[in-house]
Amino acid sequence: MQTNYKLKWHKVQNQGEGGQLPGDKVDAWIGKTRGSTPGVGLISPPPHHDIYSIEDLSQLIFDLKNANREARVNVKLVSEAGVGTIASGVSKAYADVVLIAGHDGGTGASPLSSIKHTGLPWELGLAETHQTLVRNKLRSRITVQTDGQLKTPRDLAIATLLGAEEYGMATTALVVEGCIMMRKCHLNTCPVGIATQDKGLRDKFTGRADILVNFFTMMAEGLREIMAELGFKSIDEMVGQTQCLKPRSDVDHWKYKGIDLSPLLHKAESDESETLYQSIAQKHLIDDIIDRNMIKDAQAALDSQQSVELEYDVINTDRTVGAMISNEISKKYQAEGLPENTIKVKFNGSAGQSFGCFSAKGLRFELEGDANDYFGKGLSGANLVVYPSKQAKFSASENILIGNVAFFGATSGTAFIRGVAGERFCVRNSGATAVVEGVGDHGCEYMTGGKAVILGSTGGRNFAAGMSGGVAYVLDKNKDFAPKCNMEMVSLETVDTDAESAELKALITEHFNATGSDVASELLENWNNNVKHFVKVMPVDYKRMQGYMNDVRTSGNFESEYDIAVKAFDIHLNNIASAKA
Amino acid sequence: MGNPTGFINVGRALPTERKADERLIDWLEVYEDIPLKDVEKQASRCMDCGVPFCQSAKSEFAPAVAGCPVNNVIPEWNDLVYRGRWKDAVELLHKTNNFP
Repeated sequence: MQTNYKLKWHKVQNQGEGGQLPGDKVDAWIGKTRGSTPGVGLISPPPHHDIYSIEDLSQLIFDLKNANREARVNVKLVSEAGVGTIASGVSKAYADVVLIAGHDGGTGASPLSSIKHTGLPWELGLAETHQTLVRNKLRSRITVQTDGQLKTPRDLAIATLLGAEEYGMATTALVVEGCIMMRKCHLNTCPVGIATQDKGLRDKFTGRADILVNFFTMMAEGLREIMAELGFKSIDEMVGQTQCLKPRSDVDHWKYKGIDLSPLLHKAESDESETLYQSIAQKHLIDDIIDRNMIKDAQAALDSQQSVELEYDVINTDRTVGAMISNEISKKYQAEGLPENTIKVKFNGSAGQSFGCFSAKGLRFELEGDANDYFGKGLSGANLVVYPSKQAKFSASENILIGNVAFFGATSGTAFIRGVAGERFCVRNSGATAVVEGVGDHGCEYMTGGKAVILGSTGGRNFAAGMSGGVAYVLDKNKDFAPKCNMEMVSLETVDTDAESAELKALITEHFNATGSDVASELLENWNNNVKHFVKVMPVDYKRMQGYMNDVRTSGNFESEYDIAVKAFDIHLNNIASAKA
Repeated sequence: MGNPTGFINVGRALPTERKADERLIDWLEVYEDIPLKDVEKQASRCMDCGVPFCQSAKSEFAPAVAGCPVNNVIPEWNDLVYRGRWKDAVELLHKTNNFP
């Protein structure tokens, strides 16, 4: 079975709105899978914070390709005027598939305004995409997919003739399985047991896999019959053959007068060397990268968990270091990873984008030099250490050492950075611990877990916006932090208890040992006095839930963390109910 | 919709019918009254379907097609009844229905 990564670059249903999961719906199970705390709301940021340009997208595709070489990368775009240009960019960014999503899709639980007013019919976007790709000699490099209420073999035939070779069917498949379009997917009360976690309701689910198999077989059979009628032997032959389509002449509604469909039905002709369908694999540039050497050199560790120590030079064209070897680790050891610090690697030089991206447990990367954007993106258990080159004359704590969007979506692992990080530090971090000596704007945005220790200025404003979980400790010697913090979801506290102070001290000691930071050594010299300068940024809901969990834990009736979370969530729901009554 | 989980929490309850031999001698209601509070509870069972089959139908096809022949906005009254706003419910009913 082919694995696909789908990047929903535009979300049809809630373009620009983002998703919100209110706290009282995040039960212990959802909290576990999303890497967050039950009872605490989850905010899905509307944009991808790591993609603000086509170059960023190209980098993300490269990251994903490294993380899993077998998977296809699929970029989903909304059908709209100009989508062809974007699709060309996507093709040049080496995506394997581009998906044109029509406006009819997304009938689930999205707001009515989004259902009615976003996107265009897939036919328009698909025709534009196909024609633009052919004209720019890119069509043979990328597979085109379409979706948006495809329901019959006739829809598939039209999609193929307009230029798609793959299709998505979701609503239809759900209806086949029993969906009655209640539009209650977000309320956990789906009466046919599809979109619900309620045990009683799930039992009402009557769908069976063979019904689906039947449905898709019949769709294919129907499409085959249409193909036979038109004289096509394969889908590839049929793609983009718009001469087989003509507008219906029997539509006499006044609104259709004056509509000219000929641009839609224009047939784009390909060059001799090109085809109208995908026939050439994308060049993914992943054949000659550091990770390939690293996998070879660390074979002993991968095979039998022996410790290895390696050293490489790195320059800024070496992107996404660590993702491919992490893929090898996860393939063999799953999420568990290797024992900590099994593979120790020292890098010298200036690392490229996405250094330590998706790095799995068992890796320890020490970088003497600096790093670009997306440092430790999706960090999954590795330990990262960065300090400036020993020959560098600048003061580490006053200079940017790693780029923007560091630790975006990190789930576990630790990092010690002797230097300042760029903007959007630790965005959507859900479990990693990071020590750094200063950050730019929007630090810790949308964070849901983990720890960030910032031994310096937070530079810009909007710290902790949408931060629903985790803790940040900010060293605030000049007492100028408070106005820079977004107070919507957090409160500012001090480090009160001895246990907490000791924990923080241990982290900073580790930072000093790993990087030799002078800021850390100064702090440690007079710790009891310096600890007073720390501001603790604590999300309000998170604190409340942690309190419940502590109560449950100290009661000693529950053993596993999961049971504790379940019980704490019950207490939370009871408290809400009694507050209402 | 008043209560999303109404249909799970509240069981279905139907009014009792009067005895057939009693009904034979008068023209009064077949069903016995149920207390208003119970009706309000039952109203919470309305699931406010995405496609309300109780309400929507093309009137030219009614009653061959499921749904109310005069397009009464049934889920809306259910909600008003659940909230105890009987007066508003009746006004809403009269918007689509001209029986007294």
